[in-house]
Amino acid sequence: MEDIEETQMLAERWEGDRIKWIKWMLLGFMLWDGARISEKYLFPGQYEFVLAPMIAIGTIIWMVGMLKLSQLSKLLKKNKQLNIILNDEMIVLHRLKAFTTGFYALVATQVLIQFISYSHPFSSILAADISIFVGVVSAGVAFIVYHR
Amino acid sequence: MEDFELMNTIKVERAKRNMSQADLAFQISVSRKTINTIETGKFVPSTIIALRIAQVFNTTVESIFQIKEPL
Repeated sequence: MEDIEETQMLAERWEGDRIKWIKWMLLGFMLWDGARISEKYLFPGQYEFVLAPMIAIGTIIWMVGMLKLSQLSKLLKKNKQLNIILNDEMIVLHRLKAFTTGFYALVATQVLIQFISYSHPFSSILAADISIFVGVVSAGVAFIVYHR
Repeated sequence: MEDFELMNTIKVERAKRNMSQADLAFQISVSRKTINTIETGKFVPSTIIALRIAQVFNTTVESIFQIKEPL
């Protein structure tokens, strides 16, 4: 009985940690990539005193999030039962739905960019940067929302 | 298919056996959250999970899960 409670408690704690680090990773990515895109295309050579620290802080937060998530995934690989519990069919479904949301958001962004490009010249690198940003952020946010 | 609602008696069966959501979750290797979402009808489980739940309660899937017909 204690074993059951202990396993479930650990599963819930690790599940909480996973969501927490996904949130931090997403925040870091948004800061890093958002500031990078702004610095490169919207305000080249301007507001560097704001954008450069944002890029640096975003990179650190993103990397810490990635590191923590990979540590968690290593821990899960060592504990087979928790690995199964924390990757059960509901989580797999949420993951799939989040990827689908990300994919459709990416396609919608591409369509929007294509329409804009008829009247305003749009560089292909900027289009790719924006698409990746929207795709990753929408997939991440969708996972957090589905898994509330 | 959208008009159909999946009802279940998991909560009742658990109560009969004095079993917590965590106990049931542990026995079928899913998270407690998954059991909670199945119980409240937010998540429709796969056949495998439904069969495993029925197995734990030593009964049939039909006695645990019922489809609520649309009015």
